[in-house]
Amino acid sequence: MSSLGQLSGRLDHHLQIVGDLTKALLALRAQLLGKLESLKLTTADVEKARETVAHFLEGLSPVLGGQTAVHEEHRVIKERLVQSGEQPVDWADDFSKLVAQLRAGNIPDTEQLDKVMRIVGYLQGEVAEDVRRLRSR
Amino acid sequence: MSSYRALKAKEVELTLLGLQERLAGCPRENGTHAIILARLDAMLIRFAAELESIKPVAEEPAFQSAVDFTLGRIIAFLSVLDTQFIRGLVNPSDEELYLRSVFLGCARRLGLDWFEDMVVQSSGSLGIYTRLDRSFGTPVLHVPPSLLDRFLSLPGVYHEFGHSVFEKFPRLLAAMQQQVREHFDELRRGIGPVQQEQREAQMRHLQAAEMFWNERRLGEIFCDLFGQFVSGSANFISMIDLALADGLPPYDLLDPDYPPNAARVQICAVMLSGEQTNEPLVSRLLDEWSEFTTQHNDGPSYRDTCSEALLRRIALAVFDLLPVEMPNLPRTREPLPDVQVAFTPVESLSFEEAVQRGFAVFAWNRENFDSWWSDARPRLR
Repeated sequence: MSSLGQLSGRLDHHLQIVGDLTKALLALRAQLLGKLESLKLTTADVEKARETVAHFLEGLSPVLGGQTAVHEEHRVIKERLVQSGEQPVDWADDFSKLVAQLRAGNIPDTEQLDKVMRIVGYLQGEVAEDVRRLRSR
Repeated sequence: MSSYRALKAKEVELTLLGLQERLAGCPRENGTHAIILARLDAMLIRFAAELESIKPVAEEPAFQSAVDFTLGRIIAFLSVLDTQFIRGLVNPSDEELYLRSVFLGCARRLGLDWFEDMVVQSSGSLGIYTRLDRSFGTPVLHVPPSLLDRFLSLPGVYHEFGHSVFEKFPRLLAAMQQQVREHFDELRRGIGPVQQEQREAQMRHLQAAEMFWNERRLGEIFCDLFGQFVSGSANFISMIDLALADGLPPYDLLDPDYPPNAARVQICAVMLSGEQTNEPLVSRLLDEWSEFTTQHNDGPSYRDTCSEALLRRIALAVFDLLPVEMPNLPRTREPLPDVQVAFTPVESLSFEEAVQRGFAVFAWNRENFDSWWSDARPRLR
């Protein structure tokens, strides 16, 4: 028996989240910078992107605010923030405001998008680590 | 374009093309692996399109992270294809194709009807790659060479299938987490009137014990229970083998992925039926296991973390919920079959039945095991 079973489920799950959020953030940034056309994206893609990001942050914020993490991705993000010397509670506040903005149909600014991109980066780091584990099996 | 990202994009494109060529060269006779190959072909086409779509912004600083993560994600998928799928598809041995058919049949009989296809790859230790691009339909089962000669580890196949079940039905994890939470809440409430300092120390121990039961360890212990549900005494014997063969200290809490062997054996032991527990072989192995564990010190951390009360409630929750999620999953409540029954000639033998009969022969008529297995193996379906 090996830990491949849990690794594969975790890796695919993280890849799915990273993929969805990256595409969503790409669409939101394209809208912000007027690049929708060159990326062949539509306003429907932007709407979907808003929903994707808001939905993810709604799950994450309570964990950053102090609730016990049920999902591994939330735990990973919180741990990485703490390791970076950040206060997860502050991030929870910022993300709650961002969710309200997204739900109201507003466009997030560059700083807000960068912040979400940073937590996607933590999950991308997990993906890279798991791929290394796969290669060394 | 001559930036780093342009170079990286080109490298990814070349890797992608290389994999497309290797997939195109895979044997496709009689529809073997047809579903998996079609799915992988489609995935690679999708990645090629995604790669193309980010090119207009690949060199713009504002899109740097999005481009990096997109490339990183495609590279990760290509690595999965390369390390997990390709070898078993390009040049599958007769043995691998035979095992594929046996294990696909077994999975369907157990009710894992989401398995559409499977790659079996003889590549070291037993393991399963459960999920690809959100689908549980095309797992890769890694098996040690000559798996069928390692009879005591055969129930490990159920453990591996368990990983797919655990991922497929998130309520199983939720039910296990609820049991853990309730157990430790009860313990916290039960702390009597003690000095504040003592109380805080106890609370810290309980907190650490509760945190131990993360998703990974619960997942592994679920898979042990899945094997126990399906295979009863045979699984228990296999668990004893697993725990004794590697010689690890049974109460070691340090593995980040697995619970200690003592907890894994115990949780299976508590779910043995009365008849199974009283079976002479199982009873003997329980004694041997007990003798082994008494040579080691469990310590307060283990006792806090893996108490029998907690293991029992986790096991009961799993055994209650499994038939709800998988109504067609057969459960083995009976002891191993009588050795005479095991020798009854049959035209064909399911993997599940072969495991039951084989363990009986292994236990009570070992000297004839080779001849029994030589006769039974070709009848496996």
